Amino acid sequence: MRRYLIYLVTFLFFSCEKEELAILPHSPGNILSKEIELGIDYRNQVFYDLGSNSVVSNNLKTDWDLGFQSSNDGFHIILNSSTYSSLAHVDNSLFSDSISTSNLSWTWDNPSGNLDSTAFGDYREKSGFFVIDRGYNINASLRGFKKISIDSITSEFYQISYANLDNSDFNSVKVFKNPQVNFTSFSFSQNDVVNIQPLTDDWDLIFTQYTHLFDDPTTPAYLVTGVLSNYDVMVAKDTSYSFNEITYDMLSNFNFNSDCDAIGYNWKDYSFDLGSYTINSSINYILKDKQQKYFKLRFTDFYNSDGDKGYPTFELQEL
Amino acid sequence: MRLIVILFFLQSLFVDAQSIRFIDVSNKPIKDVYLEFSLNGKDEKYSSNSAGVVFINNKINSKLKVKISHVKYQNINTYIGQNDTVFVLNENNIIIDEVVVTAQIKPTKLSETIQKVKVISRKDIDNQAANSLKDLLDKEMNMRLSYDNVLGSSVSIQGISGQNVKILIDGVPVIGRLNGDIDLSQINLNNISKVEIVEGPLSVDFGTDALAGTINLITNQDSENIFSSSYNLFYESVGNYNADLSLSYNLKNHYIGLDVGRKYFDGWSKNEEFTFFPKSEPADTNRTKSWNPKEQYFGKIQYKFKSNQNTYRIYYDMYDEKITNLGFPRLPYFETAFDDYYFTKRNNFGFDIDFNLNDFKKIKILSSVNDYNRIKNTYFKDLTTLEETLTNSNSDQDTSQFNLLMNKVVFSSFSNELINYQIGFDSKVELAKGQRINNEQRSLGDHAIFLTSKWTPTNYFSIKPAFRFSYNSKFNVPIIPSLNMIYKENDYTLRFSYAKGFRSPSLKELFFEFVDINHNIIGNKNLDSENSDNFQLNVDFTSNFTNYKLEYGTKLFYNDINNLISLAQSPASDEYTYFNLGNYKTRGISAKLKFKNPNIDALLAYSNVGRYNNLSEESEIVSFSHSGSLNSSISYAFKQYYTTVSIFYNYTGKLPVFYKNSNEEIVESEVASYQLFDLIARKTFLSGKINFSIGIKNIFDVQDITSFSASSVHSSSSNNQSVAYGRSFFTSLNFKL
Repeated sequence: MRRYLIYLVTFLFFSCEKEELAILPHSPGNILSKEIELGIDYRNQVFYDLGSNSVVSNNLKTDWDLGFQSSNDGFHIILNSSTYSSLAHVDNSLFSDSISTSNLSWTWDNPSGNLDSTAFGDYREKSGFFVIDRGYNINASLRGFKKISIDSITSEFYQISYANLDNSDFNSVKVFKNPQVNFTSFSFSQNDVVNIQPLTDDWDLIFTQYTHLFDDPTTPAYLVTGVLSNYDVMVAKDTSYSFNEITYDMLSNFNFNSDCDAIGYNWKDYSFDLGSYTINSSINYILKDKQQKYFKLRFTDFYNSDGDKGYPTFELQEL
Repeated sequence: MRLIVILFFLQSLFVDAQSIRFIDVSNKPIKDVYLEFSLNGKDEKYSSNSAGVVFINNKINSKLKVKISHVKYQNINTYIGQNDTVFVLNENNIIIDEVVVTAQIKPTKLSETIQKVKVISRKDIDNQAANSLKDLLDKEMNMRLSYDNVLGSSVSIQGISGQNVKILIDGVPVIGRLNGDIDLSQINLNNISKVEIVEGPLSVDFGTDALAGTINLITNQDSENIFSSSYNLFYESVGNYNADLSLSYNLKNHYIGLDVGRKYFDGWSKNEEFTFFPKSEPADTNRTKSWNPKEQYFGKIQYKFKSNQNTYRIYYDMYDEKITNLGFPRLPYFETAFDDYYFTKRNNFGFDIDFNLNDFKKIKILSSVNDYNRIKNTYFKDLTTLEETLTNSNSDQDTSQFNLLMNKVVFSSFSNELINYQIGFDSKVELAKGQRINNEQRSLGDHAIFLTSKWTPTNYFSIKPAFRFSYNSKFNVPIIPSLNMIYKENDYTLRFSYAKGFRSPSLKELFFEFVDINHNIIGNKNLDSENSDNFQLNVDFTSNFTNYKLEYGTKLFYNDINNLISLAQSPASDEYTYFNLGNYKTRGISAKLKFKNPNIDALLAYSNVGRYNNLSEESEIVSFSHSGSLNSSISYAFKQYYTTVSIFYNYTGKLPVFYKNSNEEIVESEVASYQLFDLIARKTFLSGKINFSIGIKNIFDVQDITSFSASSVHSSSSNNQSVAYGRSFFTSLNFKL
């Protein structure tokens, strides 16, 4: 009898972990949702169209190096800011001289997309040539340097010369403008034009890493992961309304902005306490796309269903 | 109570050898009783064999003055004549002077140890209803506990953090330091017979880490009965469910012991609703706990063989723990979460041998292999379907492994009253492997010789100089000296000690590599060891009255640590690495008053510890931040009801903290004070076969306190620090056969 009592008492002193009860998923209503695959190491650049809620094209961020403005009178050149590329101007030596990179002063493109704030700027009046730091590969190894001079610009092409710093691998090529895209992309690895950008009016947003410029002298530039918008796409940012209450009638309340980095990267934060990224889902974005339609958008996640980071997910509704 | 000595005068059975026998009141022989006398100008010393007998070969002609001593009995001075004699020693049951083994040349009475040692007996452990070392140390003087939900509990002693505290089980170091600290809640007390604590360095005896203090847990290795068993059950209303079973078999020279146990804690958060049994809860925002659920399994098997002269013991023990850290559901829909699981495994195997070359010379051999393994797994859980996926991010899945091989040989000689000495060889090889040390196996060898001698020129005074000479495979270790003195007269004991302590750089500090987008921390292969100078002065006063005992003690201490290993940014780059920089000091005073009679056991203690402020070197702030604490306890034994009622009260004073904010301004802040108050009753049934305890822990319902801490790598932050998991009721049952 006493033994059974011990068994009974023992039972009272044991317990174990209980399985949780599943919660009910939210109902999406008529709100669209989209997950963009940048990849866990942020390798992709993804061009996206709001009107069709679809990816127009994507490429590896290391597929290209320079973008050449494609309009007839265009002369601007942009760097691939997704690899943390930077540019230095050299005018005290000849292109054929050996160049040391140690005393160069480096600049980056401004992510606002303002063509007067690119690293190349209006180089047409400048003598000398440029050195490009091609930034990082996907695995964070360095991509190396190239020196380049822009020899002439016509309404059809750019004549450029480039080489490694030790003058090896010298090339002189014509980069023909493709007037249907904003920028004609060029790759040093291919020694040729590469097809990166979709047609100008086919995309609204690009999900990518890009170089953000800070006012801080110790960290003037930093590689961030976020969203840049196409030219003429208007973006307003709102934190005072809930996502569901925003309607077409309220559009006049918002201040629209045409900066390409108006959405940017700040819709997520890295939490050192949690060891993961958290979404600031109280930020709503109101967008006017290339077709003059209005949308509201908010981010809901930065992880996919396997828990991998690099998958920005957002909700979208046309107003 | 007075020792009762009954003398029997018997006819001599032997012509040449005279026998003196020592027995206790139940007629059992007492081994290891020392009999000392001076004959013809020559000092002679004998000790009794396992039959409790000493044979004296020299024929004694007249009455001879002798000294009889044994660690568990009071010394007596008396006379013996020509005849064989039996001494019946009646054990004093009020004031049992504990016997200490940690860092002693031979087992020594607590009141006679040359270092000041604190002993927590099994009775104290039971009265406090302590399950792990964490439960026990939060009531100790000069100690401060801190808790981390993932890394566990750690203790600082004399204001010096846990990485400088050595924890031993039967003299074998416990391994598995995460961020330098050993999780005290992983050290179970189920089969521990007592805990010995020495404040200040014991680096001569135990090497690295024994700088702030040493905690040595002594396990049960003996039993009075042929077969004995003990079955313990413990339940606490916050959700602790513990059970363990000890079995032992003891026949003639053989002893076999087996322990198994399980502990389960179902986690705790503020505002948690009480349920007697955990039940399935919805996976909502309440799933994250401020005290994580954990489940522990442990077991130990040992075999001991005693020959006439020698003792051999071999043991294996294992420990298995799972900590579940459920993540907060993620915004905006609370439908997914990152969950971490931490699996800790310990396996320890070893043997020890005591060779008694003769009664006063012995060799002790300790040999052990310790294995520690910790795995972290992160899962991404969909809370709407409860599906879990192991995440792909490298830093989320992590394994760390530590091994320690130890061999220690110690020769002790205590035949001479004037000089006792000890020579030891201590060899340790440490191995570590983990993702953050590049998945490579790294090893560290530390081989040392230590010499200890104790010179006792008079009965009142002993002095014990000691040295340790080390060879380390990676860096230089200085010669470590220590000097202890004791002066004892009547009821006063004065102890002074100077000791050097050191802490070797850990394998992590030497080889760590943690580089990603947010971190750039690299170990430094050229680190030196931290070393410290410790000074302590203890004055103790004991008065024994007919039926009570009063103890008063005061301690003064000062620690000065140089070459402190700290994480800092290298001047040339943006990487963080470990440097030997700066120093740290602590100083303090403590006083305690103890009262004991057959019914009452009472303690009142106060201590004040000052911690050095590094920032005082560059600005006008106080150089030491002082923090006081008060510990008190009263146990009252209602003997006719076989019941003991105890209360424990601790006040931990506020701790001022200075740190630099982001504008490089020095800011004063503090860690708030808190009080812990426990009430526990314990009753014995069936002449000790069943023990039943019931009590309330943390009556004041303290949960967390405000603390402002400046963290080194990331920015400073203000937060709440968990102290305890609120008020709880517990009950425990113990069955003995």
